[in-house]
Amino acid sequence: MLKLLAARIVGLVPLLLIVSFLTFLMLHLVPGDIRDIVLGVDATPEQYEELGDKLGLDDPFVIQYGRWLFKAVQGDLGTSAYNSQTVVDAVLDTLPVTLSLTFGGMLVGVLIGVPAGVWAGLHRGSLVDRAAVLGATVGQALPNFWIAIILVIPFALWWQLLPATGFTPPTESVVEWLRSVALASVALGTSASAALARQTRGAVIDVLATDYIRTARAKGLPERTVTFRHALKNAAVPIFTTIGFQVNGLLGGALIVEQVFGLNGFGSLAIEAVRTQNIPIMQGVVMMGTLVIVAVNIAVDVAYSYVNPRMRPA
Amino acid sequence: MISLDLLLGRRAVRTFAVCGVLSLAACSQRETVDAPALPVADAGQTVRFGTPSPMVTFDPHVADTGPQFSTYLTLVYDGLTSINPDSLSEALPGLATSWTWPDEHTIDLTLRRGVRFIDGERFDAHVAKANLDRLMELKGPRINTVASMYAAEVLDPFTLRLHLHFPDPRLLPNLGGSPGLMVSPAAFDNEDLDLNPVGTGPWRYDRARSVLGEVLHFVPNPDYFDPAFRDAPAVDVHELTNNRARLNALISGQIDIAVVGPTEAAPARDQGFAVSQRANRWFGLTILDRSGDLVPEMGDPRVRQALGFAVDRQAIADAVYFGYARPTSQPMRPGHIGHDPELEGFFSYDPGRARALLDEAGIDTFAFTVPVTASSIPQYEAVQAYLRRVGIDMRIEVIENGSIAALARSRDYPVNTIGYPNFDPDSRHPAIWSVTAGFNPFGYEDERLERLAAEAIESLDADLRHRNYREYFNIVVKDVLTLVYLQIDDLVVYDANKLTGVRVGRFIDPLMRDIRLRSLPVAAAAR
Repeated sequence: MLKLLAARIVGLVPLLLIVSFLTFLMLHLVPGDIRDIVLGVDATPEQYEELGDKLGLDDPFVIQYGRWLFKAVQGDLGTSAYNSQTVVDAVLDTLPVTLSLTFGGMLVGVLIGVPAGVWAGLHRGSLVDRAAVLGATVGQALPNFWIAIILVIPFALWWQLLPATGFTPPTESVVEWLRSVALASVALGTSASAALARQTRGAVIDVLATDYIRTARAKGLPERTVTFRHALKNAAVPIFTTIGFQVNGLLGGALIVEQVFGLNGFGSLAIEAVRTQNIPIMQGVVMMGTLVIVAVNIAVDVAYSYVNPRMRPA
Repeated sequence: MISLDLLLGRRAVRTFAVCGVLSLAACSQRETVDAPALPVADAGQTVRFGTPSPMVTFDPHVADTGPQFSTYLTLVYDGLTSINPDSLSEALPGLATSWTWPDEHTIDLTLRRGVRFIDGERFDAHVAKANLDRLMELKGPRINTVASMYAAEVLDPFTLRLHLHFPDPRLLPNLGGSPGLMVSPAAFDNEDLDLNPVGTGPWRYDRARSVLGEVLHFVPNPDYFDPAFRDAPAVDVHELTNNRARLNALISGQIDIAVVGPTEAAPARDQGFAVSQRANRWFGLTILDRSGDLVPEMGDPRVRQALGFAVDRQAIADAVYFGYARPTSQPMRPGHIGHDPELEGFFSYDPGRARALLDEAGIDTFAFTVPVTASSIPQYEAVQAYLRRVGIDMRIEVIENGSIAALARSRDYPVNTIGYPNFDPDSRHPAIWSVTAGFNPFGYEDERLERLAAEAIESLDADLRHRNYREYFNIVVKDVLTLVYLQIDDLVVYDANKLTGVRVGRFIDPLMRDIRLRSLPVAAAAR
């Protein structure tokens, strides 16, 4: 296990280098100029030039990237281009919001998708199976931001059971934290649950058709043991793969859903940073996003090795 | 039921659970700030304001004068003068209570006595001079609005003299913006001044409870010099960039007042919220290719006039802006310097006349491209449809937000769609219509404009200034150097049962200093 972790961490270094370079490059290719935002429409050419010199905007791209990288390897991701807020502070302020939504969405997805998929797989061709397949198709077709907009109307505006906007950290109040992310989690989790239901159903059907399940039944093992101990444990590998994909997808989806709920997460930070050409913040967002995705992938690998000993590294 | 223990094993479940809780707890640790504890007001005693404008910096000398200024800076700082929301050319008293002009190149300011910053420092002429020196050294984004001033001199502890390169009638009103806000000199070198304001204003920023990007808390400054602020409520500013999210927060009772667009104003009104509005901006086409270098047809004023007569302004005001806009033909709104009532209806909806002007110019049809940001597409698509009816093919090219100003400075498009607030013509001339203006990339020159502006900019004679600018805008409108279709309202919706004194200011948002609670907070009532 340690070998696996060490290999992943070593592999992370070139990955971060490539991601940081490509992000820096893309941000430079985006049309627009931070000087227009800082100086406004009345700026004189002299002001334009002075600010460019101050921010080093006229230096060659490689020099600008090198300057950023030199500081980054020393652990200094810099400060916002507009004030002295450090990139690390900006990222750490917003990370709990997006992680809460992502894992909340995943929880909703697993709680709905996996049981529905298992039930449909165990009762293939039944009415429940057909309903699950239909529900999964619809769930995957609906955009999560649209679901979010629809959910807000009854739960936040009509009945005012849940807040329409804002985030409460779990350290302040666990109940309020759950309330603040509930709607967004359901909105995000709907498509995840649909994907998980389809994948789980397929995996269960495949496993139930294998020889060792037939053998287990022939040996007279109770159906419950056959299902839970043999079938589901083996069906779990593709389910974990789907969960890994879905977590990454939910991170992206959270960026949009945050807007609907006025949440100050990664998405809001990223959109504002792109809008204002705030390159240090954008680099920080992408770097942290990369780390989160790598961490999720490592967690999925670890989970594989638990459910299937053959996948453990030698 | 499926058991995770069965699927993964108990050890794995425990490991994942512990990791999850620890990482979430670690991530939930917000920045701890070493700041004094300030009193916390409950929601009923707080004005909860939803704004689309994020807090950028609390250092006024490097801040813009816009929503950033009016939403955040005016809460915690006082200026030498104050902006008069109803007049572009008049300043109201601030930390300077009065002023005189000993000659055209000198202004003497009499400063308020008994004012202290929140760190205990006293305000006097030495402090004011130090602030202005810092402003001129830092050269922030608004330095060009006070460019006439080259030195400040202390005459006595409460009299400050400003020395000017040229007579500047705009200097005093401009000192009511971010350049004139006073910072405690003891905080000049604070590395976190941009996140931790030290002013004399009616409110103190509660940094310890605030989260940038989410909500910023302000509590009344108990030592504020003006007794009119003894009943000032606490203020929470919620940064909500999405229009729909702000409306939802308002309807669900999470905030009391919000900046909205026309799409959100109608549903808010239907829900019983009051609407305050002010015509602060205009919508139209900024003609860049005024000589026809890029699109030859654009060089003919008759063709440019056809662009004006072809469009039904009222229909766009009703359909796209839901009535929160009014047809006009000129950039300046009624009551502002340079506004000419006779120009108001210069362009009427007359497609026949538009077609006749094109025929007169010998043009059957022609095409040009405009860059448009995504949020402005509906209104420009409406213009596009009207122009098509008279044979003009206006092609819309969707561009990234934030790139419109750079494109207006380029020679890539004959027309730009950049929107301007109704600022003073003194600053608009060098930005848009002067031969050296950034938004005149083809270098079109009209000597009449240069002369009229040069005379007005450096004159203290209000009549001359008004006369010159009225003539100036007659040229701009009739030669169609800029085509204005509508005056657009900035809108604020609010809970009138809770708040009073709500008025939209000059920069999108409400005049925060004027807002009061209908029922006084208990502590304030006791005072």
